[in-house]
Amino acid sequence: MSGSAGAPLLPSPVGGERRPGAGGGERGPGLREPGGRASGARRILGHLHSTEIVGALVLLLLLVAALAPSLLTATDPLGIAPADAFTPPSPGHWFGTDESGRDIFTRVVYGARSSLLIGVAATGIGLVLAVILGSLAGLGPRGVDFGVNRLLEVLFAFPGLLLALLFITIFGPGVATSTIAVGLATAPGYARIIRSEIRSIRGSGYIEAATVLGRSPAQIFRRHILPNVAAGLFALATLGIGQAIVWAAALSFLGLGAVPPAAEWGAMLSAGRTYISVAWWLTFFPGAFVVLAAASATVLGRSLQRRNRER
Amino acid sequence: MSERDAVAMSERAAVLDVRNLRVAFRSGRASTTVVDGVGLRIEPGQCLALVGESGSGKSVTARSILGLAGDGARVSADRLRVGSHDVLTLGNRQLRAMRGADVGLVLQDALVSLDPLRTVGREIADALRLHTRLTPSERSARVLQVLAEVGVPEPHLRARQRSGELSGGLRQRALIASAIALEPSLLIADEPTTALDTTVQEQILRLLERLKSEGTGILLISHDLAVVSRIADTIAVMTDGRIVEQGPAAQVLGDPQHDYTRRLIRAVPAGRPRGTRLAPTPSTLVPTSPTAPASKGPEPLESDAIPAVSVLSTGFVHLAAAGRTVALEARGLSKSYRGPDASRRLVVDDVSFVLERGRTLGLVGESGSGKTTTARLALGLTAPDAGTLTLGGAPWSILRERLRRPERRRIGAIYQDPLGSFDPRWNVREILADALTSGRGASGVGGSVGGRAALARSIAGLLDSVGLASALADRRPLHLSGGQRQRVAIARALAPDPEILVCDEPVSALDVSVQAQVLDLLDELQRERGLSYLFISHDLGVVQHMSDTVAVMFDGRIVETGPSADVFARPAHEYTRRLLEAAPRLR
Repeated sequence: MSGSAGAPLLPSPVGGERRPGAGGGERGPGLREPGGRASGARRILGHLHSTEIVGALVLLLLLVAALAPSLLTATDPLGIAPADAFTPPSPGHWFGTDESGRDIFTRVVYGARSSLLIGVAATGIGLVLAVILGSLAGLGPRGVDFGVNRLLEVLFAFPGLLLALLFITIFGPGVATSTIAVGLATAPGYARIIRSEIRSIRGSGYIEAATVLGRSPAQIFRRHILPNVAAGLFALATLGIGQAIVWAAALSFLGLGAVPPAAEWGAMLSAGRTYISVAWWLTFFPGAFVVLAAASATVLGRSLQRRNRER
Repeated sequence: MSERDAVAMSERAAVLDVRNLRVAFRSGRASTTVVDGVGLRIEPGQCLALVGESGSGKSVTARSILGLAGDGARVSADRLRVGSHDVLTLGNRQLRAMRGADVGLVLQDALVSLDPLRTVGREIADALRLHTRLTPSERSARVLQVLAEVGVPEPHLRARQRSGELSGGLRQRALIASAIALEPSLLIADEPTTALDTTVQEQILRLLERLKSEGTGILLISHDLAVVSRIADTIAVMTDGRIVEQGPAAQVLGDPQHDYTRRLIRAVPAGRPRGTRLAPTPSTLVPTSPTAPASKGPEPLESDAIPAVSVLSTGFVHLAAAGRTVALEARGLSKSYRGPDASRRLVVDDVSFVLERGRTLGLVGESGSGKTTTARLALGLTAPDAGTLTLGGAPWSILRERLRRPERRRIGAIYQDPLGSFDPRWNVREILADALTSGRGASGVGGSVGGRAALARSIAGLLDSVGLASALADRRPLHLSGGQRQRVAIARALAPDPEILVCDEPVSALDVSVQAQVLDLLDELQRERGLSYLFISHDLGVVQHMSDTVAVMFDGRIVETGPSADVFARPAHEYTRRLLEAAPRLR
């Protein structure tokens, strides 16, 4: 499931950890010891690797772009200026302009909103669905577990993107449907992980201890199972956002999500493809940002996962 | 020249000669010395026991002898010789040649030490292939011979099995077989019997004894003095990386000179009467009993001669005399599970017992005898196939879960693995707050300052009653020691003010001296609160020390039951006798 998006974008975790150089590398493990806690801020910053800081900064920047794009650019993303068409990157237009003279930088900034929104919303939809399915399978009687498992296996038989395409063919293209489609396509993977997590937690000593203390199944689910699943899930979701961004861009690229005049990275890629031999910047910058966003989300997700394990 | 030769000759006679061994680990800029000036000498046919608790540096010592101290370890010694090898000067290739051929290593967990994907015979044959020039047929002949030597029945069948298919005892024998296949002059056994049942442990010890009589030098590493006293000629007591006392076994055990050795010997519960303190200091912050003087010189080991019998408090005696009310009663309990081949296996078979209020019923047996299933039945975690359990005279096992749940606070549990019984996200405060507020947590007492303060007081009180400082409340159990974890588990079990505690192997994962403290604590709590214990253990010594009544379990049945003193003094059943004979005790 993560093969298509995760693997090529992923900086190798080992390389990522070693990069900080001798100074940073020595500081990290030193501070990780329980005794070596200084002030709160230093504790948090001291734990961060430089790749994590870069990833967090990129996501923060994208978040600003998504929430308040006018802070970063004063130009209108849809305003055309035919005279300036195909201007290469220059001080006036950092990323150049497209065939209608629209500023690519502005469009990339505005595109962050729909890309992030689709990424987050699709992951959210996938997770909600997965929590329901996974909990049913993990907590329910054997029959329900069997049924859910077979359903997941059927869904697994289709590649995720194919599933998304199927959904869009049935319900028609558009931003909303492509978001739901990506969410649906990611759900089976999450559901399986949630199911096995719940199964292992259910068999653990602290659930038995809670039962002996007289806790009801509802209390146990709320106070033990859900929080313990959530810790791992949060990291997984961050990883998933990166993947969802790529998929959403892919659907837009195919003309099934956002449609060309809209400032969306996938749609921009698609529109720029015609001119790829004469104006590389039309496709390069939106593409670079898809990669950047997905990579930062993946880096952060990985480090969250690692922290969960270390804890 | 002749003089030097003579010296060399006499030194060659020792299979292990270590002088002033130091091992330090570097972490960052700091370096920690974990082994500090250790000296050991073993001659052929001798057994030296290195005794100490976890973290004392005994395993690191053994590893250094094999050249396996690991990266980041700085090993230095005035002398570190195995047979004729000077370990410190050997390269990796020579070390590999030495291991196996001159030194055999037996580790605690044979399941981990043997490759699960290879047959036992192959495992042993590999050692032969690497170190000898035997032909394949000679090798397989030798494999069978070695397996037969260590007492594996039907060696030609067993050699073709994988380690997972063997029982614990057979597996450990196979591991020993692979260690002695090349007839090394030195065998290092690191906690070789710790994970094994009493009777199996006995067999392994007998095997080591035989190897010793055949001339193998043995370095036996253990935390258990009783095990060691059985075969060791020399005992070296290690703590904090130093050997604090070393001498002939009888002398060290009979006339211990060092305080630490005395504490270790005192902590062994076998043969110590009920209500006797095992640890030198009171385990709670409030001194509750006249503490025995720990430094009154050598202590005799016979239980009746121990000067340190702090007499049972009067309250306890009173309870014991008057307490004839039944806390928990089982009648004809049976429980079977479906095996992997769909056959039903009777795990608990017609088990009946009576646990009187304020007293301890010890349930003793080996692994697979159905002890833990009995505990789960008592806790109402599984329903019996037949038979009933009553709690204080009221129905318990036949109750529906909805009706049983409110009553659950009356019967608590302590497990072998306390860490696994805590939610990994919670610190000690949250664990106890949850137990005190019936699962509502700190928010459950309402936002009122008074409620919070009361909860904080209760938590501090609970921690105090199990002898923990309230400063530990902010720690996660992961960052506590084994003994502290078990104390937190006891505190949690006490929170709902139960009448009964089911203790399933509560101390078997702990070091002897920590075990002594926890047992003392349980004893004290029983006296103060009139608790009834269903105390489950495979360790006869612990059960004998803790129980008023004992039930011996074998194959799902209780084969013998009666007052603790009677059962241990005059075992009626054949199996009990066997267990008692196998139990290691100080001698």
